[in-house]
Amino acid sequence: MASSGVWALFRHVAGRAGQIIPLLVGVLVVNFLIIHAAPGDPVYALVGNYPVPDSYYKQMRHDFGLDKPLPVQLLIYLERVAHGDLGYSFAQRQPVLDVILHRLGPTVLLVGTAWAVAGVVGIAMGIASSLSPYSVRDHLLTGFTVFGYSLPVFWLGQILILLFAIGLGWLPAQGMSSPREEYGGVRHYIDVARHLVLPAVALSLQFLAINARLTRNSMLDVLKKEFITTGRSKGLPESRIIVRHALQNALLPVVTIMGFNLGFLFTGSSLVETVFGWPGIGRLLFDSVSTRDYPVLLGIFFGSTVMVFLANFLTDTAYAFLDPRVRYQ
Amino acid sequence: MAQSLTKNPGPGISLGRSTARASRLRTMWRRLTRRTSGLLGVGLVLLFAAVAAIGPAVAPHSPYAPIAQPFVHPGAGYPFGSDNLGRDVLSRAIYGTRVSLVVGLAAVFTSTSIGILLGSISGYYGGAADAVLMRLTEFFQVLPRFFLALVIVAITGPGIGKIVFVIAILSWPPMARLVRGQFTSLSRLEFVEAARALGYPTSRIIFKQILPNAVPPAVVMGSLDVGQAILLEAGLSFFGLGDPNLISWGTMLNIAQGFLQTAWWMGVFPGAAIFLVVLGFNLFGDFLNDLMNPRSAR
Repeated sequence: MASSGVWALFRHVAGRAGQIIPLLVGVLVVNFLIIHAAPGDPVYALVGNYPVPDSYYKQMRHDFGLDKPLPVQLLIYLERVAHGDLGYSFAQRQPVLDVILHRLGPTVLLVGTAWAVAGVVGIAMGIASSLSPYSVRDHLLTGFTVFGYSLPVFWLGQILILLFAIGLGWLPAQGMSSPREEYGGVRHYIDVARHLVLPAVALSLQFLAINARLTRNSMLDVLKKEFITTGRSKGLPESRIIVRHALQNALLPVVTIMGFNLGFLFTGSSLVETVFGWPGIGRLLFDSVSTRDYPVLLGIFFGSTVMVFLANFLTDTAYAFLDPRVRYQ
Repeated sequence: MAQSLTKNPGPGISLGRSTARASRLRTMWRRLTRRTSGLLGVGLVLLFAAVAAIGPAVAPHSPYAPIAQPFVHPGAGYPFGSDNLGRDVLSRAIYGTRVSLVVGLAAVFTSTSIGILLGSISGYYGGAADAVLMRLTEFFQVLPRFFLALVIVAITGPGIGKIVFVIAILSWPPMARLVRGQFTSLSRLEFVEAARALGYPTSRIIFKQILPNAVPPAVVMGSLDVGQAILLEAGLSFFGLGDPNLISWGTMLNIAQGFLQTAWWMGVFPGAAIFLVVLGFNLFGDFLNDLMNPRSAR
């Protein structure tokens, strides 16, 4: 019995993993189409706005088979990416893959923190609301959700800087660490944490609101179910009903949405990083737009879709693990 | 997604604690607040629509020319202050309204048309057409929208028409899925069977029999999409990819970013405008949802 459960889970996971490959090829086809939709020569999009010597131009035309028919060019492009070659950034004088990997750490730190804050605080707020539906507290949450959904995240970032960095002077406004200080050990981590507060708050607010709203609605749905009534009539303590019976079931859809929202957090992160001068992928994206460093732009788009697919895949797997009904479908 | 997040669920159970009287009061209170927020949404949308329509006539100054010293504080004469080049922030914000609304509405009109077309084909015919279209929809739905829009506009060059096109091309999947869902459930109902039995042509069944029933939820989703499209345009402009010949709120925030220390008003006012217009469309969408779907509002 147990082994058949493991087998079903494995089959489910393998099936999901198999779906990622056509998606990745699809994304690369999109990249390829953008390169060819660029005005002028495709080399322009492959190199960026950078003066290249004539010999290099000829080399690029040859390497990418630009004198061959389009389908052949596509195959050449796919093969290059499959070998980990995302192109070369002339503005940074490094392969695109290295440029991106170098900036990944700060983004993962920011996105991870915001994601965790949005999860913990959002779920707590949602539970609190669900326990007294249609109260003043609950209405405040509804209002807060609509607000969070309408706020441009980059404006929110600017407001936070104006209030807490420039106005009150409590927290630093720019960067990931203090440039003039040479902190070591624990003081360095405290310094980074202080720099992290405002961007993480700006990035998490909208998702916090989403999680809170979702938890609330999901809890209210579950609390209507018959097994809750059964639990109450058995005389179980209310705290046990809320935590063991209601919450465990109510959190399933929340976990799913949180997983799928990771992709949106990466998008929002690019705007937040730009506002706060956070040295991650988003800031790199902004700089690459200004310097017309197209290979890096295309690389970031491809990299971010890989992250999104990975996040969705992990969410699916976690869901199949948590909810046995899914794997037997 | 936006729809399910801001929508109130059905009547909650009262957890066996409240009396009937209290729950009736609560229902009345809820109706009142729903109506207030709905009216606020309608009011905001109408206000910004009016500003967009007559803006250039009422703007106190030219939005392009320097009319004051740089960095004049908000106050008499210049309610929103002046920017780094001495231009009037209020006049620029007024002109920016037009870009945001035009982009938002045009993009959603286009994406809704695509969504309805693909969704109805998928839902009505089913089978292979449905399978192919739904795989395509899923693919578009998982792509990181903002990054893709950014890459396309950055590489192929800016322009308001292109921005509308890119936002539309990236926004249709949820609409297509919604319409498909409506079609699959509606086309099994008796009145559609009857229309088929009467030998009505397919186009008449689709457009006259089924589509009108799918319109209410599509309108609600479209109204919520306008807010998201405006945010997307603002984000692109904030990245410096707005139409260089037009004034956009996102572009104003992009410029303000460099002067946060000296001139808070350069960013606060255009950002507040984005927030209010998006809030307006979101509340308006919820309001429409309650009007067209009374069951969820009760």
